[in-house]
Amino acid sequence: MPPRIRLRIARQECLPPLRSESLRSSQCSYATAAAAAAAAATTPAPSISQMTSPIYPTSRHSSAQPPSHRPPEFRRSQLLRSYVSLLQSTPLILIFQHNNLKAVEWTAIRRELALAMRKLDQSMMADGRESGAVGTGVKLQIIQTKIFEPALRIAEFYKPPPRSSPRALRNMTIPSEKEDPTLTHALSESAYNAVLKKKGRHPLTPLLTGSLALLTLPTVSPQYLKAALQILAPEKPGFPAPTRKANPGYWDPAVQDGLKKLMLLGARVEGKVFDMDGTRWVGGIDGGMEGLRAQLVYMLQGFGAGITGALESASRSLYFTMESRRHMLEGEGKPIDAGGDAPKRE
Amino acid sequence: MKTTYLTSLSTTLSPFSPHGKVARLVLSLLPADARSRIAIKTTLLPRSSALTSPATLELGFKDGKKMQWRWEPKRRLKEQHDEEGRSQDEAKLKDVVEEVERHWRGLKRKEELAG
Repeated sequence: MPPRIRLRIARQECLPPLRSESLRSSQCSYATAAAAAAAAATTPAPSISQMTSPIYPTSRHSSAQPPSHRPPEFRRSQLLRSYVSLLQSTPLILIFQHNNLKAVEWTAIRRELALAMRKLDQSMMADGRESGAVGTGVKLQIIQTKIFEPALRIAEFYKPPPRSSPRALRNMTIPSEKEDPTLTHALSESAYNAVLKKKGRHPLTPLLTGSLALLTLPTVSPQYLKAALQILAPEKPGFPAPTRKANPGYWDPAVQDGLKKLMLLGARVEGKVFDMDGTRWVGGIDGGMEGLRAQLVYMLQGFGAGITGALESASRSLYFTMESRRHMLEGEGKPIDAGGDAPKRE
Repeated sequence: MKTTYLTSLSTTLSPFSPHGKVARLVLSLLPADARSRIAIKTTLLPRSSALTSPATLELGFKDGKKMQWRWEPKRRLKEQHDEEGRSQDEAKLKDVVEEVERHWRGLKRKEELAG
């Protein structure tokens, strides 16, 4: 049997030149089309963890598009994903109820909030704490409570199982694609089943009815929290609103009417739930995290000095006793037999 | 909800308790410009009193009529249920809206007849 390559050459030879050219051009066009498709691909690129992890022999899907329990093409599924990632990445969330605010009022309130954040950013920069300036990340957004509730359950209660080794996966038989143990994303069936029984367990659940808005801060920074509360929920002793002279824009009717309809309900700080007073307590920590640290250092220093004093005092008193005894004995000028260590040393 | 003849609203509730839900939702049913016509007083209770203190809602109308609702915490409700020997239905949001609108219809008819 002659080799196939010869056959192909022979066939190409017998093909009319026009046909071969058209074939080549179609191949070229296919290649360019593929390149264009790769460049404008709608599928997101795999993350670094996906690229470095081994591809399991059992997976029958693209690592960028895993099968999911909730239909991924719906807006509410994507909202759920975004809420889960918001809850996992944001340590400080304030919950407000908004009662029919107009668009003008929302705009005015957001403007005032951004202004206050920018001002605080500038003062932080002036102090030389660029890393602490997080004002641009502070956002006020309206949420869908019915989707936020399962997202909260997934973020709080769903702990994905540790990834098993590829060898163990190779030996495993998986009845269906959805039961693949490597699927642990927010829309997966395992996440859904894990938090199904936790309905209504989270302490924030009673809050999640009606119209809600979230204020999200990227770090737990009491200074930023205080500045935000002074704008959104001012209270006289600890959180006074900016004065008319300092900030006339804040006293616009649009802002004031909007703020009357905005109610602070509670907060979630690093996974813990706080009510209105608790939120104000967090915002009222003087000097923020650095202030707290300074207080702790001061306290520990005092503690250390106290301990050293206490330990030192016993030996010091013994020394003084012995010294006084020696002086006494020297003054008397008598030879001593018992307890005369000090004179003997001389 | 029809709030034409509403003049005052005062409510006390704890947002962390499920029985304060209806009073909180009534606030969200008020129109955007309600604050200029209606005297609204809202008292939010802390989380510690979520299971102890009741939620209340009081509405005042132009003709002087007052409407009051009260939602007891679940634990207390059980005690009441035992003492009275019958279950006590708590007002839902729909009931509140229905009652307010019924009164609104009556007042509106009176106004039409008067002139």
